[in-house]
Amino acid sequence: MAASAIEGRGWASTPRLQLFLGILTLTLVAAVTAAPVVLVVVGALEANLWRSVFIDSTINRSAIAYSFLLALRAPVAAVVGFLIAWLLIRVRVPGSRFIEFALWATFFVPVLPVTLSWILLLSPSYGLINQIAETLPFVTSAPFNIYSVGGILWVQVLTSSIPVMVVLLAPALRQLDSSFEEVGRVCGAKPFTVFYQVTLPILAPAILTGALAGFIKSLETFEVERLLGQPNGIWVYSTRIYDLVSLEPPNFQAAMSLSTFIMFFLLVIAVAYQRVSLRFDYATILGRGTRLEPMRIGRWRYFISAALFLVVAISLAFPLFMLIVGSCMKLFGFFTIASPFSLVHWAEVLDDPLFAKALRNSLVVASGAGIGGVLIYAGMAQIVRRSRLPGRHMIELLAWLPWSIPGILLGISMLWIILTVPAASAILYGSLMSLVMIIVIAQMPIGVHMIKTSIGQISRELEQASRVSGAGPFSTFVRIVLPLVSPMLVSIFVIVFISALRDISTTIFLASGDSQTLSLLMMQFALSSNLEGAAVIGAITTSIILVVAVVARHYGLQVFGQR
Amino acid sequence: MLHRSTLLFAVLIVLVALSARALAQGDPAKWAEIQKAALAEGGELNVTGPPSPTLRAALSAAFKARHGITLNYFADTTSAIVARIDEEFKANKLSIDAHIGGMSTCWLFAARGQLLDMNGKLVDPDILKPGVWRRGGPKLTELTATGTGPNDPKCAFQTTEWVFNSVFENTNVVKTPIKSWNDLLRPEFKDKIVSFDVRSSGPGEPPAAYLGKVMGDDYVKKLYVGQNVKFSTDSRQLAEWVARGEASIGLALVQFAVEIYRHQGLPIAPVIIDDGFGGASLTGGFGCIMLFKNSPHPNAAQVFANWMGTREAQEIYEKNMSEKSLRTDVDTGDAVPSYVREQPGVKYLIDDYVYSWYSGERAAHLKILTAELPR
Repeated sequence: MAASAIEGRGWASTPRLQLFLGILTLTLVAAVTAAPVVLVVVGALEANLWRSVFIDSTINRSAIAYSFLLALRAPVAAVVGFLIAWLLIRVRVPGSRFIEFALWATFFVPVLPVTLSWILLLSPSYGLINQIAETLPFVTSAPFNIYSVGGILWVQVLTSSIPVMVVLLAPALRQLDSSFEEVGRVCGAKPFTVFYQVTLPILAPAILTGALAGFIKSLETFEVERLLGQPNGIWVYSTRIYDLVSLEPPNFQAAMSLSTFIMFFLLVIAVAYQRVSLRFDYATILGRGTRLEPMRIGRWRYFISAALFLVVAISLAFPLFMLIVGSCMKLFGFFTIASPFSLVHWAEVLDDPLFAKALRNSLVVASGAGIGGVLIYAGMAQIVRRSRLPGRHMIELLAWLPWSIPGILLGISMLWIILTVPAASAILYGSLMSLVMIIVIAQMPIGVHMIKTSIGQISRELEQASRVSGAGPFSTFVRIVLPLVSPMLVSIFVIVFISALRDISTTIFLASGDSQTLSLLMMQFALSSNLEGAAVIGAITTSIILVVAVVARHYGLQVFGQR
Repeated sequence: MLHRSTLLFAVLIVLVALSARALAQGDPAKWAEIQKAALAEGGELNVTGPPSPTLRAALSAAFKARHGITLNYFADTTSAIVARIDEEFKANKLSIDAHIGGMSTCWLFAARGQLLDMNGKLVDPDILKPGVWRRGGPKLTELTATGTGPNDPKCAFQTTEWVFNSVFENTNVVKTPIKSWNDLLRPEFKDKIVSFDVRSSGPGEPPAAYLGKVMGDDYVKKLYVGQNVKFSTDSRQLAEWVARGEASIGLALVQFAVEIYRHQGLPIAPVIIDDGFGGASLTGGFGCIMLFKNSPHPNAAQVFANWMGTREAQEIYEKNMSEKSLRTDVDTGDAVPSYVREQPGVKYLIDDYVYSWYSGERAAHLKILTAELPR
């Protein structure tokens, strides 16, 4: 009762003020999340293309089916990713810090060179692994085909789905006090029983959120599916959207109609998620402090460490090697031509007059989106999780919306909005600020929901103690909540930073000649068939991300007093 | 009396001839006036065009050096450019002045009333000299199927024209020479032919339509459907499949992707098929210049359009895009492969940049083919 009184006093002292703040926050969030979606729905309704899009088009029907089939990798990756994160954080495994960082790095390597590298290995006609396999006496034809559902799943799971789960779930595992597991062990439970009956239920909200985010995002992945799927007639939702908007003229109306299916599906699971997540409310950061004491598992630790190093070697070492080597080749992946290595493509990129400007723009946009995004998401997550403002549950739902439409449709919708609103047009159009804004909006679902989950792990008594000691709600938020969720803030910062550096589809309509970014420059090289130039930019981007990730992990946590 | 009227008639003829000559040679005074007005607009110009970093860099540097105007070249996919410009037009906030691209885009812009008539826009005396252009004068492309007269509106200044010889083979894999279009139907090529997707806008369409015209729609169905042609919308991927032997034959491959592999000695080569129908179709590629209505820098845009017709600009364009310039004095050698150059004595049946063909027969052939493919 006393606690409730303190919380109520904190967030808005009068019902009228609460109502005002609630409406204001809801309006702001709705303006940036619901407006683009409404435009897409209205466009789809006006077009009235439902029959041609969903019934007459065999490709669209097949694309939706394949999308859901391929999206099933998300729950599998969530389980495997959680298991790996648990081994790295909660179990004493040799080399765990290196392995964890390597899995972060895996997520950073650009998709295009990684996919090309796997084609070199697993192409049915010239793939190196297939060629070696075919020399075996019992193998009569190429055993692997990268241009297949299995090939797509292999590349996605290894290079994206599992690493991103480790990045998202590791902070939640760090926030789990060892005493919970110790109690289990003292009662005689074995490590697996403790994992299954203690760790897993406590971290269920984080796993659920991560799995859901991964599932929704996997419906949107595009590059791998286009390169590996289309040659064998495997279309997915995202490649169909790309085809439709690549037509002359772009068929946005059909793309909008197609996207409404996924939008409807997402809204249903977002509501279901909200219902389910209310059942889980385990605070793992208590007033007595958090202690992280990894479990000892004897000689098994060497076996586990070796297995995880193997995962890192397959998922990171090879793609990174190919990225760097490919950028130094005359022709990506052709080792048998005369003098295959050359730095000509590095010179080409570094001499490009747009390069310096694009690099500066990318760093400004990525830093702005990373810092701004984390602050905005944390504020929204605190409102959703801790406030009693009217409409907070609606804000939670609205925060999913940017992922309900593909990035390219989000981009064109924002272009409409900015061009239509005179003030926005004058201030934002063609500026770097508009790119920062759209990245912050595009990454809102993962930012808000993962930080919300992390805040949920903090026992309310800590905030109440702060309030009883005389601190205001803002001061409590800045001095107590933010430091405690800093591992997650750092993860989200890095994810938003990477997304901003890599993004093409959402920013393409808002960038002007003056606000070109490295990713748009990379797209120019790739579209002009200069894959090697694109690989050079990919290598530069990866280097920047690795530096930022190291700095963010070390100094970011220090700033928040976690180290 | 008769003498005086004969004299008057002769004077008139001379005056008309002199004016026509003056017109053909441009209007130096007007040209100087436009250049001055362009600088007064702020010395800036926004142009959209093909996503070639080298073309962007070279055009921007040369235009700045020649006219003192900063060229902001914004490269993107054609569809993204079309969408952005359309939205800017609707909001009456156009930021782009000119576009470098293909005619399908031009006709799209024109149908939406977004382009200026190019008649009278070329005034630089340098580009209007006799003998500069292969077709007698600067080629302005028509806006409609019927508007082909000299005074009918023109929507683009076409600066390039080349042969879209779109069939390539892997010379290590294909042992028996391909001499006829019917050879592509040989059983050995089933599942071994790749093509740019004919259902997408781009280089997949012209060869399919050409074959529809010369070989008939049944042949096209047998080729694309019967031979189970694999599609991609990535030109580099298509060329690599043929270069590596993953595919034996590549259709609708473009020279800028193919030459990457040929320069390194890989076994990919053009196949010249002559079934008595003449050469493959002619195209202008990306080499058409369009000017937008209500653009922020109209004079700078006109200066740019004229400059793109100069030898300097055409050499830059030809070298970076591997597309043959229509100027007679431009030849960048190996930058333009021989198989895309017009051959003497060969009659080219189809000009893909004629609106009546594009919107009529070409569209009809493509419709028949795409109806047979999954949609």
